[in-house]
Amino acid sequence: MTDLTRRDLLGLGIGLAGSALLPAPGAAQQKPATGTAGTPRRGGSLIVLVQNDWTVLDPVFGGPPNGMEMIYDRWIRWEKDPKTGQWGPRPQMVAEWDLRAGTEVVLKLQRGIKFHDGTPWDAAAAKWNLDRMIFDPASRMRAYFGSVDTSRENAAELERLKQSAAQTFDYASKAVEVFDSYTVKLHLRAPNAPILSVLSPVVNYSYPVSPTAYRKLGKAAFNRSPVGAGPFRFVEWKSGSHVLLRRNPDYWQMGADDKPLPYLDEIRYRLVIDDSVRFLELRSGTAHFTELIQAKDAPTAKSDPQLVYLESQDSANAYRLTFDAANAASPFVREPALRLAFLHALDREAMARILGLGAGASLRYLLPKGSFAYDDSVPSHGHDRARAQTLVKQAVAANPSLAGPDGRVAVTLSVPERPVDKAVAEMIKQMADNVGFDVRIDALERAAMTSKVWGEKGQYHAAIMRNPVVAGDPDSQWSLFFHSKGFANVTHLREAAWDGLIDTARATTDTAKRKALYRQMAQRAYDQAWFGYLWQQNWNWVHARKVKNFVEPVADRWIFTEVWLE
Amino acid sequence: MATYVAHRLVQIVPVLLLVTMISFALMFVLPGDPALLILGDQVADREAYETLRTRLQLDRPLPLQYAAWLGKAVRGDLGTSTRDDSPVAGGIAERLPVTLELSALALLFAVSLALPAGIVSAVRPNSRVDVCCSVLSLGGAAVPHFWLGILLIYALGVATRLLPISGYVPFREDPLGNLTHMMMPATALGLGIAAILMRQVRSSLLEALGEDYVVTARAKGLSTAVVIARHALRNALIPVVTVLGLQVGRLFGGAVITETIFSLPGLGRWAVDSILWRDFSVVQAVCLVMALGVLLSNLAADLAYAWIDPRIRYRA
Repeated sequence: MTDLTRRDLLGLGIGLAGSALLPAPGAAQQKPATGTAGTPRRGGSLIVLVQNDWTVLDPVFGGPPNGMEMIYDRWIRWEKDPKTGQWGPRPQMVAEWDLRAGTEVVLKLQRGIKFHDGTPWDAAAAKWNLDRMIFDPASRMRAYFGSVDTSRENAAELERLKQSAAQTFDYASKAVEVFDSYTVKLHLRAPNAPILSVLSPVVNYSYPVSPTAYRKLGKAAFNRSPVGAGPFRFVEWKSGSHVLLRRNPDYWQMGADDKPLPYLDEIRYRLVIDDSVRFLELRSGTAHFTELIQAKDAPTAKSDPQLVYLESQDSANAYRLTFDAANAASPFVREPALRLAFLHALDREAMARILGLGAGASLRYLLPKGSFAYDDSVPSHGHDRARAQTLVKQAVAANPSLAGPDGRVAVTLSVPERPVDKAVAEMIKQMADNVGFDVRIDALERAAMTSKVWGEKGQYHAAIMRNPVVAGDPDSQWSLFFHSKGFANVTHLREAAWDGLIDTARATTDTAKRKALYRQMAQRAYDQAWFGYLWQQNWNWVHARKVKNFVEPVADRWIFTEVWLE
Repeated sequence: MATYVAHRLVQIVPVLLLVTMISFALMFVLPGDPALLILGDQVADREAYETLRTRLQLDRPLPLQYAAWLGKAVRGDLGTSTRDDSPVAGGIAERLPVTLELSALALLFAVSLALPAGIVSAVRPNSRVDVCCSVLSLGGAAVPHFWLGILLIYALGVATRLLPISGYVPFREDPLGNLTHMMMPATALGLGIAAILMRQVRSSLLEALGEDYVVTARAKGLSTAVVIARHALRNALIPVVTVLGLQVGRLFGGAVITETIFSLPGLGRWAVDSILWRDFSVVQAVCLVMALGVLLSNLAADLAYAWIDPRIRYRA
């Protein structure tokens, strides 16, 4: 399966019960904790190496993060509680929130914040940003606001927006209401438990931008000259080369020395596509930070006294297996037992050990361990070669047309044209061939893979996909992959039962109820066996030892606000 | 001669037309729907998908799409990137100088290495120097330049820290920085060409040195250096110029990988990204520019023959 970019599929995590209520007022104003990192030093230029080129710098229209999280500030932070180990929302540009009304989300804004062009952060700016996220036809956020109550909107105006190639955005919705100067209300059709995570960096498109700048510059120009409220101001973007940011002297948060953050003078994000070259740059000292070095380089990074290697247990790239429910000719559709056989043939521990090189773990379920709905009492398709062989034999005996002249069931495994994915495919082939399948590996480049697997009509038998996962709200994972409107529903399952379960779980804030519903989903997924879990490569970050106070972020949302250089 | 040049320039037009037709057709033969790639997490939104296809004119017949592109291209409008809506012409203007600089430096490196090595090998055939040069040239031709690039990065960037590992600095911002950043990529790209050139120089010069006029020149008492520089080398250069002209295409192709390894924001890497993303406008424009580059370099090679050998004169 196509590597759905990291930003697309990060779990919408939320520590649900606590997050529905108001957090402590003024929490966002607290001084940052430096822990054992030492005394902050001001100044310096941080060189960050990125591997994905920039296409947009306006977050609502997509693109890899790569600096956007520093140009723009966040509605809500997403951080790990060191005591509980759970990830959840923390106040940032939104100081307090209230979800207790169910279909009404009340957001009280942090005061004293300004965008880089001086535009105040207030309810008007917040409303404009929410309206743009929800109603701009090209907004990547629309899919995440499906529960917004649009019944009172001006349909003609929305249609006009859709048809015009507008360079600005000027629609004022009824769904987003300005309550007072620093309070907005978002009206929903139904309660939506994960709504706060949508406003966090877990979803990469949600950073607020300056409405003044957007209106003045227009869509295209704003994309090249973004204006946010973040700790760093945009300076320069050279296509295919770098993005340069300089500190925002008027940032609202204070450092440990009672002066405004950030500590750094500037950040230069440099594009270096090749994994090996990025790592070499770090080792040579010409750069300070990167992420996702190859597993084979991890031992070197760990042993290098000039480098610090961080590995996450909560963020990972998960490798999964899907079957196409819409392909009537597929042996996996004609005989469900073959799906079970295929899944039981796979030794996930071996995959994690051999391919992860010490930075991998086997997967049994859709949800990662840090999720509140993770439940290991649900059965999983473990490695059982004997059972797999029996299932194949029985299936072929009952329906000889499933097998070829050699008695083996011929299937195609579609895989992205990437080294690790192909290695996964080779291992799967070997394991599946041993139980009676004849697997043909079909390695496809990105566009071909996307069309084949994501296309409207199913065209594949089985496919490998790699997606980022973060411990958090289960809704994101289940709705993305199993809801009929989920954009990652590559099994092409369109079942009312699935939609019902997912919508019900999303609409309640009762944690126990949600957990029970997600257990039902996990059991259903196991019974239907359209989706398989293989192994994950834990997310990693590597930085120079002189970089201080870098805290594990949500995958690739690097936060350097409180980082300094020694 | 001027008429000849004018005729050659006119002949470029139908060739470019053919190149754009073929590249356009090939992009559509490739599997993959650009609208699906662009939509990302809106891919389940059928309406958004249809709207995007209409906006990109993907719902029109291929000939009409090509005609529309051609109509704009002849007016200088190369369209906008489907990926980020930026003008393609602007992207070419930004990236072409980088690729041209890389190619020029690689060529300069290749010629600077190949000429002296080829001359020495030809003057002392089968000597230790000749064998050494031959072995090195075979190695240079065999080694993939991406592997050589990584090796150079490690040796000169990491182990000795003599040169920067990757990245690009515009010449007008920092000339010295620009050259230090380009040294490794130019070497990696140029070495393979140097190897081929050196063999050609050696072979052509050896042949020239066996001619009667060279014997006469020696008999007149001229030194070896004068014999080579004034008599033999010039006659040996024509096949060398031919080979050089043919290497331009290889330079552009090699630039793709070199730009990726050394993170140079050039045309080659942009072209590959655009193919993977099915960014038709960019691919068309880059093919056009590269084809034009190859055709012009072939013309330059032909004109160089006339300069080298006064007996060659072109007529329209």
